[in-house]
Amino acid sequence: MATVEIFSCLDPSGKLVKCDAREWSDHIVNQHPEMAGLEAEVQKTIEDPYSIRIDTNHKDRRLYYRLTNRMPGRDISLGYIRVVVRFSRWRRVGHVVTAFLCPTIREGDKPL
Amino acid sequence: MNKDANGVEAPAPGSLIWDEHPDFLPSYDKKWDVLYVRQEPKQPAVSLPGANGVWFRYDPDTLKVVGIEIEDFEKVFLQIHPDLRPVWRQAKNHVTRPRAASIDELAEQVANLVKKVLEWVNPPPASSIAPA
Repeated sequence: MATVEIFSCLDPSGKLVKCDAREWSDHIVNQHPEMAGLEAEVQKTIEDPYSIRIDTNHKDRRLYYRLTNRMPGRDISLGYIRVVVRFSRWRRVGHVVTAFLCPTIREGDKPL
Repeated sequence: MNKDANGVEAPAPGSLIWDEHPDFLPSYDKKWDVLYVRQEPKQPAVSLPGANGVWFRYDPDTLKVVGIEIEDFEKVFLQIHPDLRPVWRQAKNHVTRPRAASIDELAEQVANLVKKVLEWVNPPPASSIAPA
Protein backbone atom coordinates (compact mmCIF):
# COMPACT_ATOMS: atom_id res chain seq x y z
CA MET A 1 0.00 0.00 0.00
CA ALA A 2 1.31 3.42 -0.92
CA THR A 3 2.24 5.74 1.90
CA VAL A 4 0.12 8.87 2.08
CA GLU A 5 2.12 11.98 2.84
CA ILE A 6 0.93 14.91 4.89
CA PHE A 7 3.80 16.97 3.50
CA SER A 8 7.36 16.83 2.28
CA CYS A 9 9.79 19.72 2.47
CA LEU A 10 13.46 20.68 2.64
CA ASP A 11 15.25 21.69 5.80
CA PRO A 12 17.77 24.58 5.70
CA SER A 13 20.60 22.20 4.75
CA GLY A 14 18.63 20.86 1.79
CA LYS A 15 17.68 17.53 3.35
CA LEU A 16 14.33 16.16 2.28
CA VAL A 17 11.90 15.49 5.13
CA LYS A 18 8.59 13.66 4.81
CA CYS A 19 5.67 13.32 7.17
CA ASP A 20 3.44 10.29 6.65
CA ALA A 21 -0.27 10.46 7.33
CA ARG A 22 -0.13 7.40 9.53
CA GLU A 23 2.69 8.79 11.65
CA TRP A 24 0.86 12.08 11.89
CA SER A 25 -2.34 10.53 13.19
CA ASP A 26 -0.94 7.64 15.26
CA HIS A 27 2.13 9.13 16.80
CA ILE A 28 1.68 12.87 16.76
CA VAL A 29 -1.98 13.88 17.09
CA ASN A 30 -3.13 10.75 18.91
CA GLN A 31 -0.42 11.14 21.53
CA HIS A 32 -0.35 14.95 21.52
CA PRO A 33 -3.86 16.32 20.90
CA GLU A 34 -2.54 19.87 21.01
CA MET A 35 -0.92 19.25 17.62
CA ALA A 36 -4.22 18.81 15.76
CA GLY A 37 -4.34 21.23 12.84
CA LEU A 38 -0.69 22.27 13.15
CA GLU A 39 0.60 20.45 10.07
CA ALA A 40 1.66 23.72 8.41
CA GLU A 41 3.47 24.87 11.54
CA VAL A 42 5.35 21.60 11.77
CA GLN A 43 6.40 21.92 8.14
CA LYS A 44 7.49 25.53 8.74
CA THR A 45 9.50 24.39 11.76
CA ILE A 46 11.51 22.06 9.55
CA GLU A 47 11.92 24.58 6.73
CA ASP A 48 12.76 27.59 8.87
CA PRO A 49 13.70 26.52 12.39
CA TYR A 50 14.94 28.67 15.22
CA SER A 51 17.37 25.91 16.21
CA ILE A 52 18.41 22.47 14.97
CA ARG A 53 20.00 20.00 17.37
CA ILE A 54 21.27 16.45 17.28
CA ASP A 55 19.48 14.10 19.67
CA THR A 56 21.93 13.08 22.39
CA ASN A 57 20.75 9.46 22.37
CA HIS A 58 20.15 9.12 18.63
CA LYS A 59 22.74 10.52 16.28
CA ASP A 60 20.39 9.83 13.36
CA ARG A 61 17.73 12.18 14.72
CA ARG A 62 17.55 15.93 14.29
CA LEU A 63 15.47 18.10 16.58
CA TYR A 64 13.91 21.18 15.01
CA TYR A 65 12.60 24.00 17.19
CA ARG A 66 10.59 27.04 16.18
CA LEU A 67 8.83 29.65 18.29
CA THR A 68 5.06 29.50 18.22
CA ASN A 69 2.16 31.36 19.75
CA ARG A 70 -0.09 28.30 19.41
CA MET A 71 0.53 27.05 22.92
CA PRO A 72 -2.51 25.57 24.68
CA GLY A 73 -3.84 27.20 27.82
CA ARG A 74 -4.82 30.75 28.59
CA ASP A 75 -1.63 31.90 30.28
CA ILE A 76 1.15 30.66 28.03
CA SER A 77 1.85 33.02 25.19
CA LEU A 78 4.98 31.65 23.57
CA GLY A 79 6.75 28.34 23.34
CA TYR A 80 8.37 26.04 20.84
CA ILE A 81 7.22 23.45 18.41
CA ARG A 82 9.65 20.56 18.71
CA VAL A 83 9.85 18.24 15.72
CA VAL A 84 11.90 15.04 15.80
CA VAL A 85 13.10 13.78 12.41
CA ARG A 86 14.91 10.50 11.84
CA PHE A 87 17.31 10.21 8.92
CA SER A 88 18.06 6.71 7.79
CA ARG A 89 21.71 5.86 7.41
CA TRP A 90 21.56 4.95 3.76
CA ARG A 91 19.01 7.38 2.48
CA ARG A 92 19.07 11.12 2.68
CA VAL A 93 15.36 11.32 3.35
CA GLY A 94 14.18 12.09 6.85
CA HIS A 95 10.86 11.10 8.40
CA VAL A 96 9.01 12.95 11.12
CA VAL A 97 8.96 10.77 14.24
CA THR A 98 7.05 13.02 16.60
CA ALA A 99 6.19 16.63 17.31
CA PHE A 100 4.82 18.47 20.31
CA LEU A 101 4.79 21.81 22.10
CA CYS A 102 7.23 22.72 24.84
CA PRO A 103 8.14 25.92 26.67
CA THR A 104 11.89 25.37 26.54
CA ILE A 105 14.60 23.80 24.40
CA ARG A 106 15.94 20.66 26.05
CA GLU A 107 19.47 21.04 27.33
CA GLY A 108 22.12 18.51 26.42
CA ASP A 109 21.27 18.12 22.76
CA LYS A 110 24.16 19.44 20.66
CA PRO A 111 23.35 22.32 18.30
CA LEU A 112 23.91 21.47 14.67
CA MET B 1 20.64 4.15 44.78
CA ASN B 2 20.70 2.42 41.40
CA LYS B 3 23.66 2.82 39.08
CA ASP B 4 23.89 2.17 35.40
CA ALA B 5 26.58 0.15 33.65
CA ASN B 6 28.86 3.18 33.67
CA GLY B 7 28.43 3.75 37.38
CA VAL B 8 26.25 6.79 36.87
CA GLU B 9 23.81 7.24 39.70
CA ALA B 10 20.14 7.30 38.89
CA PRO B 11 18.16 10.28 40.10
CA ALA B 12 16.34 10.12 43.40
CA PRO B 13 12.83 8.68 43.37
CA GLY B 14 10.26 11.11 42.12
CA SER B 15 7.44 13.01 43.70
CA LEU B 16 4.56 11.68 41.60
CA ILE B 17 2.46 9.38 43.74
CA TRP B 18 0.25 6.64 42.36
CA ASP B 19 -2.53 7.45 44.83
CA GLU B 20 -2.83 10.91 43.31
CA HIS B 21 -2.95 9.60 39.74
CA PRO B 22 -5.13 6.47 39.79
CA ASP B 23 -6.44 7.41 36.35
CA PHE B 24 -3.03 7.15 34.68
CA LEU B 25 -2.86 4.42 32.06
CA PRO B 26 0.24 3.11 30.31
CA SER B 27 0.74 2.33 26.63
CA TYR B 28 3.95 1.33 24.92
CA ASP B 29 4.96 2.23 21.38
CA LYS B 30 7.22 -0.62 20.37
CA LYS B 31 8.27 0.96 17.07
CA TRP B 32 9.83 4.00 18.74
CA ASP B 33 10.45 2.52 22.21
CA VAL B 34 8.32 5.11 23.99
CA LEU B 35 6.29 4.42 27.14
CA TYR B 36 3.33 6.72 27.72
CA VAL B 37 1.70 6.96 31.13
CA ARG B 38 -1.19 9.40 31.16
CA GLN B 39 -4.74 10.28 31.91
CA GLU B 40 -7.46 9.17 29.56
CA PRO B 41 -8.92 10.76 27.59
CA LYS B 42 -5.78 12.50 26.43
CA GLN B 43 -5.82 16.25 26.58
CA PRO B 44 -3.80 19.12 25.08
CA ALA B 45 -0.70 19.76 27.14
CA VAL B 46 2.74 21.30 27.12
CA SER B 47 5.78 19.07 27.57
CA LEU B 48 8.71 19.75 29.87
CA PRO B 49 11.90 17.68 29.72
CA GLY B 50 13.08 15.78 32.77
CA ALA B 51 16.09 13.49 33.21
CA ASN B 52 16.85 10.32 31.26
CA GLY B 53 14.54 10.90 28.30
CA VAL B 54 11.43 11.58 30.36
CA TRP B 55 8.98 14.27 29.24
CA PHE B 56 6.30 15.53 31.61
CA ARG B 57 3.02 16.71 30.16
CA TYR B 58 1.39 19.54 32.08
CA ASP B 59 -2.13 20.83 31.83
CA PRO B 60 -1.37 24.43 30.81
CA ASP B 61 -4.19 25.85 32.92
CA THR B 62 -3.92 23.88 36.15
CA LEU B 63 -0.15 23.24 35.86
CA LYS B 64 -0.78 19.67 37.01
CA VAL B 65 1.07 16.73 35.50
CA VAL B 66 -1.36 14.87 33.24
CA GLY B 67 1.08 12.40 31.78
CA ILE B 68 4.64 11.35 31.17
CA GLU B 69 6.46 10.05 28.13
CA ILE B 70 9.65 8.04 28.45
CA GLU B 71 11.80 7.93 25.33
CA ASP B 72 14.10 4.94 24.84
CA PHE B 73 12.26 3.12 27.57
CA GLU B 74 13.80 -0.32 27.09
CA LYS B 75 17.08 0.89 25.67
CA VAL B 76 17.94 3.43 28.34
CA PHE B 77 15.37 3.81 31.13
CA LEU B 78 15.21 0.14 32.09
CA GLN B 79 18.98 0.00 32.17
CA ILE B 80 19.08 2.86 34.65
CA HIS B 81 16.24 1.38 36.71
CA PRO B 82 16.74 -2.40 36.80
CA ASP B 83 14.14 -2.67 39.59
CA LEU B 84 11.54 -2.03 36.93
CA ARG B 85 12.46 -4.97 34.71
CA PRO B 86 10.40 -7.71 36.46
CA VAL B 87 7.34 -5.47 36.51
CA TRP B 88 7.90 -4.55 32.86
CA ARG B 89 8.16 -8.21 31.85
CA GLN B 90 4.75 -8.87 33.39
CA ALA B 91 3.04 -5.80 32.00
CA LYS B 92 4.59 -5.35 28.55
CA ASN B 93 2.11 -7.44 26.61
CA HIS B 94 -0.79 -5.66 28.24
CA VAL B 95 0.33 -2.19 27.28
CA THR B 96 2.02 -2.56 23.91
CA ARG B 97 0.21 -0.81 21.09
CA PRO B 98 -1.95 -1.30 19.16
CA ARG B 99 -3.48 -3.23 22.04
CA ALA B 100 -3.28 -0.32 24.44
CA ALA B 101 -4.62 -0.80 27.93
CA SER B 102 -8.13 0.28 28.77
CA ILE B 103 -9.79 0.68 32.13
CA ASP B 104 -11.12 -2.88 31.92
CA GLU B 105 -7.64 -4.19 31.23
CA LEU B 106 -6.03 -2.43 34.14
CA ALA B 107 -4.73 -5.66 35.56
CA GLU B 108 -2.62 -5.75 38.65
CA GLN B 109 0.61 -5.95 36.72
CA VAL B 110 -0.29 -2.88 34.68
CA ALA B 111 -1.09 -0.92 37.82
CA ASN B 112 2.20 -2.09 39.30
CA LEU B 113 4.02 -0.79 36.24
CA VAL B 114 2.54 2.67 36.62
CA LYS B 115 3.33 2.72 40.33
CA LYS B 116 6.93 1.70 39.72
CA VAL B 117 7.46 4.17 36.88
CA LEU B 118 6.08 7.02 38.93
CA GLU B 119 8.52 6.17 41.69
CA TRP B 120 11.42 6.83 39.39
CA VAL B 121 10.53 10.02 37.60
CA ASN B 122 10.79 13.49 38.98
CA PRO B 123 8.89 16.31 37.28
CA PRO B 124 10.49 19.72 36.89
CA PRO B 125 8.71 22.59 38.66
CA ALA B 126 5.59 23.79 36.91
CA SER B 127 6.98 27.32 37.16
CA SER B 128 9.17 26.34 34.20
CA ILE B 129 6.14 26.79 31.98
CA ALA B 130 5.42 30.32 33.15
CA PRO B 131 4.55 32.77 30.37
CA ALA B 132 7.50 33.44 28.06
